[in-house]
Amino acid sequence: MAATSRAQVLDLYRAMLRESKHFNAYNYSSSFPWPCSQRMYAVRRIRDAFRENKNVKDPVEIQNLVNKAKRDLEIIRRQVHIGQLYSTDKLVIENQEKPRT
Amino acid sequence: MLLRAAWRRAVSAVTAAAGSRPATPSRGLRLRVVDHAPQSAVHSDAAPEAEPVLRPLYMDVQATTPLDPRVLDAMLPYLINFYGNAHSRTHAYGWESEAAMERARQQVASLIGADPREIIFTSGATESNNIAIKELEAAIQPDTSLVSVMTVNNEIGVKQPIAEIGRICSSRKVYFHTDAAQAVGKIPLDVNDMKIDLMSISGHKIYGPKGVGAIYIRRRPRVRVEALQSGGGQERGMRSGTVPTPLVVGLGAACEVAQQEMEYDHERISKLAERLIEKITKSLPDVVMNGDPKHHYPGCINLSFAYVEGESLLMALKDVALSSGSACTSASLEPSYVLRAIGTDEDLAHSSIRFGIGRFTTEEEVDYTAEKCIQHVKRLREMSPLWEMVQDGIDLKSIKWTQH
Repeated sequence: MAATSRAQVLDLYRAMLRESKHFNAYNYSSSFPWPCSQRMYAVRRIRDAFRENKNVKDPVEIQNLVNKAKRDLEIIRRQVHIGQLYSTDKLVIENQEKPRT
Repeated sequence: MLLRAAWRRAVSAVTAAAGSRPATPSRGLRLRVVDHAPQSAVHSDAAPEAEPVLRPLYMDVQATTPLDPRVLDAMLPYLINFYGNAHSRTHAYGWESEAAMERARQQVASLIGADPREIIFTSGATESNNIAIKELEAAIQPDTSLVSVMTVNNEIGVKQPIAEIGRICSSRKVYFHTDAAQAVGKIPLDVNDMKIDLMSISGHKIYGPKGVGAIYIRRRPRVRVEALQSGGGQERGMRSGTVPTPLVVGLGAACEVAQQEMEYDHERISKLAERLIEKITKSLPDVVMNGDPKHHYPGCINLSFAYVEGESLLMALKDVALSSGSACTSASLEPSYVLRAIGTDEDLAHSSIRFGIGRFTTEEEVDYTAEKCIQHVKRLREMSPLWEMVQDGIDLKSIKWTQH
């Protein structure tokens, strides 16, 4: 298997952020997939994790990190879906929040 | 635009209501009872006056924590397809369940620097504490004793000098137990460096499931404990009963996630804690932080607001889930024994609020909590005759209250 390229890592990063933002889906029926804080945690954590590891040079370590990220992406996908099935009311703070980019 | 206006009306109606008890009518607005059943796309037809109820922010992590999604993800397979009993030796269902249980045991052990054979799964830290303390009664020698100390206090967040206590106990040949429910996964713990003989671990304090915990029991030198629960001899005879695989998998996953996230969480939580304390103390005078500020876990902040009664402040802050003192004793009206023990004046003890900051707490939640707190403390102080007297320069301690 060829070593993970920079492009692949960036694709993975974008995929994870995109998926996490599904927690952010603005939904008029007052149901949010997840507690607001966990959604913001996911986006923030992903950004910080990729930033933290951006200077890793060892290809074996890079592959390990990429594999872990791929597994985490699957976790996010599943848990976003489950959260949407069991959604409940918004938090008091959510109607005051400006939409985040 | 219209929706936002409707939300605002709903929120102001909610804040105008006297209390958060669902059944209490107030100014003609009946708060809809929060329906905890899953709401699919179809709204329940039970409440035609569907004023959406906004949920409060959660700032009570010392009472319990939400499940980390990584933990739920690890548990679900064992609640769906992998449902075997971990002690069934004769088929794949048992073997896969046992493998999961042992993997979880390794994850818990790794977090505290223990050997997996030293971890016994229990129903929670309370059961673990009972097992540890009962060991005292099982001891034969007259001079055997046990020291039991909380690692991080759940009310004021103070960190005990565990390593020093461990060293002293070890040199005096006294068993050392610590209830690490609030500390595991939040501060680094090593049972060998700190010479801990027994440790209680709780699942639901570290973003794991409720109903599970563990007790660490040192093997070298061997610490003997007596089983509280007898039966089929599971968990090396120390805790009979089928080990609940989904729950222990959750506990193991929570420990593994905690080990990975400890440094990141600690840094974020410290910053948020500083932010909360700074905002509040900048705008409000006469606020006391309970507990030693140097040896303190940042995520548990206990503040006393002079001249304000704690329960009334809690009720006023109903948009934020908070508590004063510990959940275990919240039914009684007595001031916290912890605050009394650190020498807090009784009036300050009655006005203490505990703010919990956790892995998922956001800056916005901290700012909102600080603002509401400042707003309501000011309002309650305006209504307080004691505050008025203090503003007039009267020293309250010099007053001789008449006795009846």
